[in-house]
Amino acid sequence: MGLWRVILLRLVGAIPNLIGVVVVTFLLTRALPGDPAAYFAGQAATPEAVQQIRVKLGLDKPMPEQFGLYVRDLAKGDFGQSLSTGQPVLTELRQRLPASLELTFCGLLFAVIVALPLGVLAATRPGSWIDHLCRVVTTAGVSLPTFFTGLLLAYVFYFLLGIAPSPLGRLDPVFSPPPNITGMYLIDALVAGEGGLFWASFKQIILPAVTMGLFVLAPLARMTRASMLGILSSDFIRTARASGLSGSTILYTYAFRNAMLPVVTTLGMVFSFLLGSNVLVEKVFAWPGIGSYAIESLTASDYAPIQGFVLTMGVLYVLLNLVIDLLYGMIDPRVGIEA
Amino acid sequence: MSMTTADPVPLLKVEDFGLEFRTRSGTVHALEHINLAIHKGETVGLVGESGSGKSVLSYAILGISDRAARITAGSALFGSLNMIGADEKTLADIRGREISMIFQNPRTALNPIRKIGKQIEDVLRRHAAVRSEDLRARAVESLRQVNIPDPERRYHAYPFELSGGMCQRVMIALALACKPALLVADEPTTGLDVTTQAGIMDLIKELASERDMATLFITHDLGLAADYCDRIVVMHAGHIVESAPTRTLFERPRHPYTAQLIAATPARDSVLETLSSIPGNLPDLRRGDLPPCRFVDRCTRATPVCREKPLPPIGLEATASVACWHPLDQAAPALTENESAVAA
Amino acid sequence: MSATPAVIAASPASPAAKSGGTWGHIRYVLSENPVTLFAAALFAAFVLLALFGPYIVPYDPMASNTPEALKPPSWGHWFGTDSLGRDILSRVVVAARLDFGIAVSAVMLSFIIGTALGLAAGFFGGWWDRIINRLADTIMAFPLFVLAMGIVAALGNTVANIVYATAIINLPFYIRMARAEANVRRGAGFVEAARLTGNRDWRILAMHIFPNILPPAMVQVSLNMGWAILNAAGLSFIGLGVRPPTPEWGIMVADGATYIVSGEWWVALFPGLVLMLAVFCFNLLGDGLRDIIDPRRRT
Repeated sequence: MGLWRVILLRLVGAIPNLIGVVVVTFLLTRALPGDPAAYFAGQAATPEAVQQIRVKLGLDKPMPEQFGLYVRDLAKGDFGQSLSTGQPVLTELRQRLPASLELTFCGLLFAVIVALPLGVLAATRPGSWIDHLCRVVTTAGVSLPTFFTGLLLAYVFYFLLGIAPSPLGRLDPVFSPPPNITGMYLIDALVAGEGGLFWASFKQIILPAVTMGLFVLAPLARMTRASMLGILSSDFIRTARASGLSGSTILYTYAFRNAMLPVVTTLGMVFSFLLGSNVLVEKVFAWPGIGSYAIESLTASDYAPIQGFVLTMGVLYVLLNLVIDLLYGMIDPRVGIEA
Repeated sequence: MSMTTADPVPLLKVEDFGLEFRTRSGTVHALEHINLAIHKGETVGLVGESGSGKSVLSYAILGISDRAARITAGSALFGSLNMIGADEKTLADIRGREISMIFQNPRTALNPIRKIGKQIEDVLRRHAAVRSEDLRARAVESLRQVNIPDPERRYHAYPFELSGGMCQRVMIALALACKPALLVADEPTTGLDVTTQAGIMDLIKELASERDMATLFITHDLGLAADYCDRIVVMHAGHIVESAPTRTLFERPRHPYTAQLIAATPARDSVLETLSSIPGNLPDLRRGDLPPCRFVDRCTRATPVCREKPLPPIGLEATASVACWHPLDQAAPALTENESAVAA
Repeated sequence: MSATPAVIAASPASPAAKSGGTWGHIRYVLSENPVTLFAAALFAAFVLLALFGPYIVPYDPMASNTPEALKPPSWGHWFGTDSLGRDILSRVVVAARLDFGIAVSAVMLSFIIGTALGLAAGFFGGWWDRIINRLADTIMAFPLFVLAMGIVAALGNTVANIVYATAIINLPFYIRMARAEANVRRGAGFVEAARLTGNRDWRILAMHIFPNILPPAMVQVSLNMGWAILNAAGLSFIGLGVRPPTPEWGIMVADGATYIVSGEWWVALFPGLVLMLAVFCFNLLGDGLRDIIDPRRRT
């Protein structure tokens, strides 16, 4: 069937990017100035320890062979060892990933819930106050430094107004996390039927999610508005009106669905921003995700986790783009023929 | 076919209708003193150059004009309802059910990401009292009635999978699904090849006579109008200049513009060198000093009176009328400086 | 779609636009767009601040004065003092030079290299195109900030590396833009004519194609500047690149972060606000430039 062919083609198309991600992370660590082995061994290592690391990581071998070893290690799930915690990097990444994912998706959800209606309303009521608000949001939104916005929000809502909880992570220490299914507290709490726990987790995630979402509000709203404006003046909308279809049918079934196509395409860029700002937001709100893991490792000059972090983010982003492509293909039936 | 018994009460009666557009570069006086009557079962052709206001008129009647449009005068009575000034809900009830419209460029006039069968269902669901179980069958039946082969399968098709001619048939199916009394066809065959054109026009004609449906056929192609319309109304620069039964119009055109249009229409044995064109361009409709006859700068028969005296607009009841001080069935006025200017 | 009748006479060109060619046109657009004018003025102010700031600040940005630590804004210290008693206003002003310097260098580097690569890819096609495309795609396969983090972590924690990292992650924008333009013009008549008169390829690229991409490139550069500043500040915020005691907006916000939840809001607020203002200015400018150059793309 057409759709399966499209999915397969997209999957195959993602492979070069995955390869690229692996190659770049390999180059990054081998491009370290000085002796890579010394970096991996850590600052406190003795010359013998450094030599051990050198042999272990194959850093004394020629480049192509090193790359082969690197890939083999990755395939085995060996992302190296963290110097500061002594744990395998993969284990720690896996533990912390759900926290980052939960944060990213909540940020996206917030952005979508605000940006899409804003863009639609701005397009259907040109010149109104909501149109002007949309324009302000789209211009000012991309100027907001995420880390600063987060701090401001924490200051205003926690320190000044006292509405928000202390920005100290995913859950107030009074509570214990829900039984682990996905690792995302909101989902797990719902599944376990623990309303109180859900609410507590929700309260902790609001500010960081809003901070994340604020930056990407702008491109989403802008694209929604522009796309809607274009669609609303198109020929098939005129036909729909001439057929007497109701306002809501025209707006949602006809206009909105078509207008969403370019917005879905924008999601790629949106995720790039979201995954990047993950790091910043996790630092501000002490969120125990892979971003703060990377920052802690940076401070400790611990290189294996950083490499693992960059690799994980790269793979995650490639997969997300794949999903976006597939989503687009599902909405737009014309895609199959161009593949 | 011409009507043998004229239905006295017109289906649609447009009276002294005027419309303007507010634009950044001025007010465009798009339509003035428009009188038009369409009777049940009649096929009326609305003919004129691009920019003469034909489409603007039809959009205004249906209430789907551009935001910048302002209606300055007149009424458009559909039965006893004045479409002008009616509220949106009333108009939306009429659109698609009593009066339908089909457009140029059928492929872009259909929702590109929605199955055509579903688009027809949308119209049925809105206007016809059809049970949900029956919607699909009714939609397929509409497709069959416009001679689309294999309608059950085509139900699932998307516009991009169909040819231009097929898309136009789908649009016709959409427009006729609820059996309207009047179909407005705005250049439905422009852009289609000649064979397909004939097919579409024959289809419209056939369906119109089956259902006793009136058709307002808007076109710039006088030849096409000649083949399919009972009566032709000629527009120029926002005015109606002549209205007559088809045969009468072609045998005895009375307005100079009509005569020039006919002369400019290629016939079967036309040779390129002998084709004439109409000199000049449409006047700029933003001018505040537009003359009462807007053809005056392109007319070889114009006299000073044409620039001053307001023309009696074409009446509604007359079967053949013309808006001109020197129609062709009267003696030509003396050669004026206008003619020499035009001839130069 | 409305059936607006064709407007026959073209609207008369505004008198201001007719005079003085490009400069007149720019002045005309600026007068029509007060917002762009404002952005341009703000930009000029920032440039002046970056150039002359260090000479006009009231205090030495590096001089600590511990008894005066964490004092709120006052007449003596308009922006208050930080944890070491240093005057925040002076530090914010001096930081402008560093942040602007990083942004300008990074974007210029990115523009020059990216455009060159893109032009080559679009003009010559074949292997050039494939390899350069692969490069751009690989960069874009990462969330860009993360890649910048990785690069700075790998190369070393210095300001120069922040510049390189920011330049690298901005390459794809310029590559794609230049490639598209070169592709479009590759088969154009004037290129053929230039070839036939014996012009060598690089000359054609430099003289004929490159000038055509300057307008959209300028828009891109302006928007990228804003983003480059955000990037640099973000990297400094997490401890990469700029080290204390160097004043830089990102690192100052990071310093202030520890104090904001205990109420000393000014330490983080002023650097953050000025940072926001600078980025905002570049974005407005970029939008304004886009309106001048290609009003059709206005959103």
